[in-house]
Amino acid sequence: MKKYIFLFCVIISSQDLFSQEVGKIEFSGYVNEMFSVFTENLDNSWYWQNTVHNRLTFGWQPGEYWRIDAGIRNRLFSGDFLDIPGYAKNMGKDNGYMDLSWNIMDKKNALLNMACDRLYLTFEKEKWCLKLGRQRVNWGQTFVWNANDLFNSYSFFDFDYIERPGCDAFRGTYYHNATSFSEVVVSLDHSKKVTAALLHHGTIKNFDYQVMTGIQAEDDYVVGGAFTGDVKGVNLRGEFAYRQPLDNFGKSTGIIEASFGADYLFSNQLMLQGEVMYNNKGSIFSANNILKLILHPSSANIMSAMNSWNVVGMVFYPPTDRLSLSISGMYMSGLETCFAGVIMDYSLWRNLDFSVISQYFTTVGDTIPIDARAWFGFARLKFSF
Amino acid sequence: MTKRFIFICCVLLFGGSLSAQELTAKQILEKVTSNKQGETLYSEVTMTIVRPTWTRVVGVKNWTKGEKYSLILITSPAKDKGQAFLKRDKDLWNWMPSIDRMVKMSSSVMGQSWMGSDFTNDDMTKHSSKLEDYTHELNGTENVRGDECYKLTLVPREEAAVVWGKIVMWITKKDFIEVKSEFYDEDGVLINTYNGYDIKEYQGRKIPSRLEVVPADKPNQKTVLTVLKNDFNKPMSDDFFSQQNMKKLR
Repeated sequence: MKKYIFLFCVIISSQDLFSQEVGKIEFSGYVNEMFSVFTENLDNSWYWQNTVHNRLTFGWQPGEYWRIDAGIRNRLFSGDFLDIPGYAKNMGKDNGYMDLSWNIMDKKNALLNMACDRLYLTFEKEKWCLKLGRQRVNWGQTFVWNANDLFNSYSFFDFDYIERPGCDAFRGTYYHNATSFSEVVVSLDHSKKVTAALLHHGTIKNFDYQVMTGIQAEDDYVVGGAFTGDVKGVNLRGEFAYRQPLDNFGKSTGIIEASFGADYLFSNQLMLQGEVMYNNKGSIFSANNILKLILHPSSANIMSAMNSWNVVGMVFYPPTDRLSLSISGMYMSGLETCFAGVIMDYSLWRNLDFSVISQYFTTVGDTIPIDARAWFGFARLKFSF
Repeated sequence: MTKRFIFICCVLLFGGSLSAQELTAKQILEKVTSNKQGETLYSEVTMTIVRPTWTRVVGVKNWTKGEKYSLILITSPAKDKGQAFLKRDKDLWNWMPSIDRMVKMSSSVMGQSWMGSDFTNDDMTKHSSKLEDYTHELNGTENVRGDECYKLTLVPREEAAVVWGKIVMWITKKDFIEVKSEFYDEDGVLINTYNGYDIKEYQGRKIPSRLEVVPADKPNQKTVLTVLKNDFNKPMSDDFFSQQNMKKLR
């Protein structure tokens, strides 16, 4: 009897640890003011754009097991990019099953877009967590190239939208114990194609691992896995997938995508990070692939556009408590393209940050038909609330 | 009968101090740990990071169970709110809700600054155990800010993967409160000094309600931890310290 009373007390007390938040509406977000410049081939053709970007997130827990989350993104664009044919239409496009992106104002010199990138219901009880609606499902383990990431669209180049778009999905997670879980995710995209996959995540010794399998956009059968852990303080991360097109399933050969990364943090806060990716059948060089990479950087686009070997190296260092610097260099052998990036973040005040970002892309090598260079510069003021 | 009575009187009169004098360094440390952590501890603190030209305040909720389990939730500033850290034994994870990603943290981050403060990740998550990972030596007593204190020296065990080369601690004889500690690197150079001020009583336990860490080579900067709430021995199962809860904390 005492045992049951004790167990009852544990359950009641554990619930009490969270219960104070039930019914409360959470609200947070940020406002960015970002000025960007772009030039092709570093000649006299300079273009500019100004973006005011506001993000609002809401969370409401009406009951002990239920929760509703929403995220809204408002952007006001002005500048030369509005002259590009189809730019407004592209900005108003929603890749999810639900069309939750609207161009509220579309004028010659200004475009206001409002998009809902999170809108989901959570039911969580004991070891089960079920989510339905527009949500982010991030299965990546490495930092740059994520072969396991079927539902997410992480991009190394898009520093201004770390939240990334959500997918319209059902996600059911079962937690086996404190450090392992299995989940199933089924999503629908704008063309009503289904992506469905299973993942199991666990820990062995001091390594996390995951295995996954599924069907992506009704086109490819995918099986893969990933690991992350450390050896003598060096973080090691790996991710791989084998992708077999469903058409001619038995006759065609599949695609191997694999990435491996390592990072180390020194005692003076200097961090070195590197990652290498191999794709045996990615697209070869084309201007369209480069554009896809820069303008629509999704995980799938990035993985498929980068044929053969690709490597990235990054250095992070905070010279002062308020200033942090990040320098990165990437070589994409299939695209015969190099990238160099610099990010400088300065904390002006408690919730106010200023950033300067430089991104440079250039083609290299003699086998490709064009010699192209592009430079993007950004100055951003960000207020979080 | 008389002899027995005298013996009992002696035990009653001197027993406490005799047994205290006979305490080993490890026993003293066990009392400190048990006093300030209890079986479990839920606390709410603000961390003020003081730098020559600016000050930053971080709000923290913290759940701990012994030295093995801890969960930390950042409640402010806005840009970091919702981030959580889970420690289970020697494994550490960081949850970033804005990108729906859990990152496994390596042991190389243990000696590094936690959220830009003068506290290390090891200090905050109690990754290493002062009881298990160090050998302990009692070096007499010294007076610290008017309190008579045991002086302990902790040296890491050979096999232990710890941040510090040596720790010197001052523990009050009366209430077993850690009022001062010095943290040295492997070359014996003083890195940080910890001071505990404003002793308050929480559920019968006397504990500093203001902790300051001052880096030795940067005398004009410090980090101050102010305790807003301490709730001891609230039942928490081992499974409370889970990846599921890390994502669920608010």
